[in-house]
Amino acid sequence: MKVKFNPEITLVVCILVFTGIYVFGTLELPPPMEDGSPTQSLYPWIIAGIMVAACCSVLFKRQIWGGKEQVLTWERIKKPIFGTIILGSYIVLFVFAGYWISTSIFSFFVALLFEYERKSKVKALIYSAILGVIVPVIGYLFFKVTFGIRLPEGVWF
Amino acid sequence: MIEQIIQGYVILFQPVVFLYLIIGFIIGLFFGTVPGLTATLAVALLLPMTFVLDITNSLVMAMGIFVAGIYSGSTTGTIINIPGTPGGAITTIEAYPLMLKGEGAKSLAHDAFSSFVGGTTGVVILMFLCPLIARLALLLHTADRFSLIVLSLVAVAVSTRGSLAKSVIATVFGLMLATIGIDPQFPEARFTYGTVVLTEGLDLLPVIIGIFAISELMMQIEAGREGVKTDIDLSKIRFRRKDFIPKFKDIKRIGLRTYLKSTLIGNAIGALPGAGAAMAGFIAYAEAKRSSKHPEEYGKGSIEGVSATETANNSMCAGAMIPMLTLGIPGDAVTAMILGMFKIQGLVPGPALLTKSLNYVTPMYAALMVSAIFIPISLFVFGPYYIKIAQIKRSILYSFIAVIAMVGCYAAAFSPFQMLVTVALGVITYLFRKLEYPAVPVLMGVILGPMAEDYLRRALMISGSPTVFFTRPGSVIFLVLSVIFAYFLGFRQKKKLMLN
Repeated sequence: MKVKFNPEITLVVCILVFTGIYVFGTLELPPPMEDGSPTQSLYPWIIAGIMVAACCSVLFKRQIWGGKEQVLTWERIKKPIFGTIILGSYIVLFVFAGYWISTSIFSFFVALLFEYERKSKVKALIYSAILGVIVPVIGYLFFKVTFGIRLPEGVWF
Repeated sequence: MIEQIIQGYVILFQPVVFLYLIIGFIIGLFFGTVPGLTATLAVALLLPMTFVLDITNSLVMAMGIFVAGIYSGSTTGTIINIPGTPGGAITTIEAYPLMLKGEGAKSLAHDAFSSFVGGTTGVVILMFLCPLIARLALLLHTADRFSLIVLSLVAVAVSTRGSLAKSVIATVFGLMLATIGIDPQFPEARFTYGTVVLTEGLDLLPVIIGIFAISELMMQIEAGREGVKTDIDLSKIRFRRKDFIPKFKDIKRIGLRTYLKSTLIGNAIGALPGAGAAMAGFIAYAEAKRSSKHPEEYGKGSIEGVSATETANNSMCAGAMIPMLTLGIPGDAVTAMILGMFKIQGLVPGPALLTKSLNYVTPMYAALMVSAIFIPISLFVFGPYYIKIAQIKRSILYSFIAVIAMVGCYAAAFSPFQMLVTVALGVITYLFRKLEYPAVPVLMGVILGPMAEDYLRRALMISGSPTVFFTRPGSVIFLVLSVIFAYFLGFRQKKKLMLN
């Protein structure tokens, strides 16, 4: 799967959308000045204005200088996407399955993201599995034993 | 004052406190030496622990990490041409050619000695300047304080490398994040969009861990398993401890003037919000090259170049503390996190801290000084092992870092929502970094934003007119400085870079 796009412009557009949502939130507040005094919307209006100006400046420069269009391929984006999925899944598992199971799976997959480029896939799996055991144990010693921090047992148990 | 400084050393040399300094220093050495890990990341990971640690122990440990992390950032740059931190990159220009000439140990020796000189002298300047600036800070009116924050935000935006517009976007993004939650003056929630979890706003801790730890993890995941690649056969490199002692004739050749000038440059750049070690090192290097009696040696392995850069780098550590302690404005990412440590413990940096809570500040001075003294000792102890440290597998490092970051974030508030904020901000910062948007201004925006809004609204309420910012002498000075900074460091400098 290949998609052509300009990442610079895409990000600026995303920031402008975020600013639009921010401005929408500002509209729910009173006007910037009431009875000669500043209200809670004055400062958000100012910074939203600066943001729009800065985004326009980036877009304007792109217009003048041009910008390289990049080809988005699965090969390029798969690692960051897997990374985000693993991080997001960890939060869910952390709450439901508790520290031990979630951290073991999490550290296994994080290690695997680095190790899977090995020639021997079996070695990569074994190595990641070892880290999946060692990392939670050391994490437990660090958080629970050293600092006495309560770690979740999980709502499933 | 002298009595209190001595008291700071008495506190530092208590066995437990001193142990925390040593642990912090070793963590800093490790994070500085391994390419991809930085002192900033180490302090970010330490931050959740400050909820359970004593404030003095946390601060002392952070000082150890800061000094050692900045110093050791150049060691792998010297040995394998891969600086451990951005601050070490300038040193590498001169240190690596020395390594190729077989003078790597000599370069490391001067690196450590200069760091020691810059570090210790920088602390003396810090101890002298802090009370003076704190006294001046008491004279500032609300409008002056707002303009000072504007100056800091401008300095953050213009002193970061790359496009000015991108720096501004990153700074304002941080300012926007800081407005989420209960309004500081009216009991009303803003930008919560009907969600209860956002009412209290974003905690500083998930923001810091997201910006620095998670985004770095994502960058490294993308880079993959690639280890350290170098054009030197690492197995053949052997350092002898006796080579780590710098020769007096070399120190004499570098000259007191270079050390002193670099210390002052490092301290001044450190006090500039957002500038950091890389800029301090670069300016000191450029000045040393300009005024050198041997400019022909630069680029081919100049000990003078290494010394100037490293003196400034480590003097920057103390310099960055000055605005943080006296005005509550952090000088760089690490001091921004130290500011977070103060806030977690309910302490507000500023003039009041230096009068009422000096017992927390003086152990920091002592820790900075003792850490600087530790630098040459650490080279003697760990120097021969730096190559091995730099070669540790990324899968081991980052699986530990990922767990410490995520669980640490949970431990700070026992809230999965905070973990979610951490991941979201980490991914956003990763995208920013991929497209050359700087990360530090986002954090500076989050920290300085509430102060900027508070001072702006209070100044307008008291005076009833925006002209107050242009009639108060203090405010005018800061605004004029903002314009000068924006012009010389921002538009002109970046236009020149673009043309080049």
